[in-house]
Amino acid sequence: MKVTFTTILQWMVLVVVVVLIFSETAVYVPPLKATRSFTVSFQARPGEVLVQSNLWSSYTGTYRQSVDWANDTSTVRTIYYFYDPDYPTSFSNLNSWYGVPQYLNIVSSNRDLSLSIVVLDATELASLLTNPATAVGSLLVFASGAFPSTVYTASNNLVLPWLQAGGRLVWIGDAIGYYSAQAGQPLSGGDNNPGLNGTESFLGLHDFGSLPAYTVPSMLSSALNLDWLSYSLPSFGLNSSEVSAHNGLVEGNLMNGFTNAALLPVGSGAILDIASPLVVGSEERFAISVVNLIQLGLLYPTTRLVSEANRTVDSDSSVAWNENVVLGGPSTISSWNLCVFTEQVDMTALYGDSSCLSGFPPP
Amino acid sequence: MTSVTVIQNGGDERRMVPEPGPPIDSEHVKLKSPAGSPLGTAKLHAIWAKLPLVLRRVWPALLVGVAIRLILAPISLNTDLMVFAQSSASMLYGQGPYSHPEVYPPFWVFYLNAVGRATALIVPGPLWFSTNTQLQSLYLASSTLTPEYALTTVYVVIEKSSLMLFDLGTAFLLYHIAVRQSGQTAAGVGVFALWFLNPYVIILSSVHGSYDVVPTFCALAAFVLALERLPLVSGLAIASAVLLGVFPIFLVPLLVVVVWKTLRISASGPWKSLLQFVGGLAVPTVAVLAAPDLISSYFSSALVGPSRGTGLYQGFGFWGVFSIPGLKGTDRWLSDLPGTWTLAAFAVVAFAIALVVAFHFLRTAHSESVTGRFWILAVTATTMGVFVIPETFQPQYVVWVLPFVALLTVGNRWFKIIYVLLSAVPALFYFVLAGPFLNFLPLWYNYHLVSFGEIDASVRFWVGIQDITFPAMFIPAFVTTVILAVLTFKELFKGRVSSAGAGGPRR
Repeated sequence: MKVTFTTILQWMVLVVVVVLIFSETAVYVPPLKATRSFTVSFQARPGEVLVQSNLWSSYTGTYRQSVDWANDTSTVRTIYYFYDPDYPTSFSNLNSWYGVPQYLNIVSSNRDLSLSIVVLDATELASLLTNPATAVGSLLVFASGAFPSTVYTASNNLVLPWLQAGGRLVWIGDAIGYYSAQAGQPLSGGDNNPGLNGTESFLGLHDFGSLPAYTVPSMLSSALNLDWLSYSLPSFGLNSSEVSAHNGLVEGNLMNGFTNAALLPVGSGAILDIASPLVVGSEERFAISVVNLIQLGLLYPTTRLVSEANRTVDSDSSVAWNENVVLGGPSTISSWNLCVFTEQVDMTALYGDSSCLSGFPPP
Repeated sequence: MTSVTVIQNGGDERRMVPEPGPPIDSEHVKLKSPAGSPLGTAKLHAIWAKLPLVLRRVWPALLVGVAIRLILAPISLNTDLMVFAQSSASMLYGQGPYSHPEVYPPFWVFYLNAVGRATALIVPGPLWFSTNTQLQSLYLASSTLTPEYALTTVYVVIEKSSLMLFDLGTAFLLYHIAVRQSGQTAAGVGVFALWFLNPYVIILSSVHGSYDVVPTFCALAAFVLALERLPLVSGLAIASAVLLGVFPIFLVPLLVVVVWKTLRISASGPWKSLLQFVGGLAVPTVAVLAAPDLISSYFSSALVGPSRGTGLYQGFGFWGVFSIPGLKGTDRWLSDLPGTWTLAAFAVVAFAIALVVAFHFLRTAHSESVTGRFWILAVTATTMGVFVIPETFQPQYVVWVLPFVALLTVGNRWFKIIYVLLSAVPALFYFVLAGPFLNFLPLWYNYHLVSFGEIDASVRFWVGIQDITFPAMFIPAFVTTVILAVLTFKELFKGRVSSAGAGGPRR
């Protein structure tokens, strides 16, 4: 049979369709679909706990395992996210501000977490913060860089009492507490802004740095997968020594004695202040770090990281982590809760899994 | 010249007398001799003589076009490619196709999976991306969307190479149609070169890495296959085109009319042909519907977004052609009218044009064939209807109509002018005036060849435009579009549809 152009064209179309349908099958059907399995076992012995974990993957990936004492076992069940496009942003932007909760949902569902993610406008936020009963077990995420005037002005602060009652806050964008944003109006330097005094009242810190970038990862920034965040907020870098002196945890990258993220206790609650702008394209990684914070228990200043280690898993193979964790930790421990958290740290990967063992009293 | 051939139609073989085509020019015969060979030895002459005629005619354009593409592909990059690579990596890591908010239609996502799997054979997924501190600094210094990490060149080359194949496939398809229309191989070579050496087309696949050429090829193939009386494969092609790029959905009514009218002359009647066409449509559609939660996750991913924002998370609204009327569900629908009702407006305009054209076609006595101009004009007019409406316009959309306009240039100088204008505007946008120019060359920057941040600023300063967006750039193209629409309709309705080119058989 003579091969005509029409015959070739038919075959071209058929090849395109077959390749696409085969590729579709590869997304859904094992063994073409990527799979993995993760197991952890704990063996409590006198004075120590042997932690053994194993990860098998059908594809190549880089995984990081962190082990920590998550002494405060109260966990976050609800994330409240402030989003109200009537309000201005500072060192953030509308699209990123909107995008973060989408990723929070995606990361949470990929990890089979029973997290409730609730988006609140400025009015709903005020209702939440006036009810202290909502504080314990809740995380409030602010990614616009400015509190709305419904909850924060020079003379009225609904946020601090809620935190003192046990609420947690993750903040990214301009300096926390600097602005009180009015609906439909750009931010200005008027008297209704608490300014630097507002920032200091939230953080309890007074020494701020002006470093251009934070490029040295800390152990906690790596564990959180926040080590990609090297951006700085002009004039509001956090002094690492001052953070420690306030019983806080340095959770960001480092540079010349300053950090761009730290967890600071506020009454029974805490603020994770990320002194960095939220830039377009970083929403997903920011959301992953927020979920990691919850799974690692790093929203609680008493949590102590024991170790972290990276492993590369080749396709159709497994890697193992073995660790003898000596009991002890902070002197405040009356019971213990040892957690293992493993996550894939490759770009765009969402996988993360944790497993904990609790005991009382210390063996 | 009349001959008897066997035409296959989905296993339904019958003997037909094909339409009288134009005489093939003398050059066509002359080329069967190895005398035209650029090669030196007798052995090479023999090889040359065995090459298909089309290759012996288009080889200069083919080599130049491929060479330029291969040079540009590995050293250029765009943020779209970053998003594509993220999608490929997600599927490589076992996540669903819509595990990241995006609006790409299902078949394009699966295409990206294929590209990702091919890349992973050479570079493991964890090594695809790396943080680039130079780019981070560049990012902070500019307000553009330049990513702060670098992407492996292997992914870039594989993704762009696959697009180049569709460039090439479209070029051969255009050659085939133009030769059939005019009876002159020179016309085929001209259209081949006009497409394959078009700087805009080259930029689109080998610099931008935009996928729009893939559904465009499938849509063009669907019409050609329908006119060649192969309705089953035509259905496969148009369904794939829609699932790859959405916009060809506006061409479906027109294609159905073409299938109906063309196949009325077939022995088995139009109904059987239409059934075959529908069967072809069904295969890719069922494949997509069968995937668990694919459609629902596509819509839940694509419909999110600030009610009137622009940028990454605005749902379908910004890319007007994908917007679904009434589904954005905000309380500001009135102020969002352009975005919310874009698809409805598209549908009304495009389908109205398709129906007018279809009515005109059905009431005429003659049929249509590959050698006619009617279907080209009709597709061009319908796509123009889509172009007129959008809330905004991306430079890659121009390629949807470009192959069809390239065919209309045969023997028509006005369409030649239009073709050049249509190509020049987005090409200028890409390389001279674009605000996010930095996006396109970070790999060059990465290789320390030159600081494109400085060049970008210098060029824009020199041109006197600090920042300009494509919608603004498209104003002259919009005028061009209107002129093109007028030309198309003028030709369409003045009775030239059957006489232009070789013409179809009058019945």
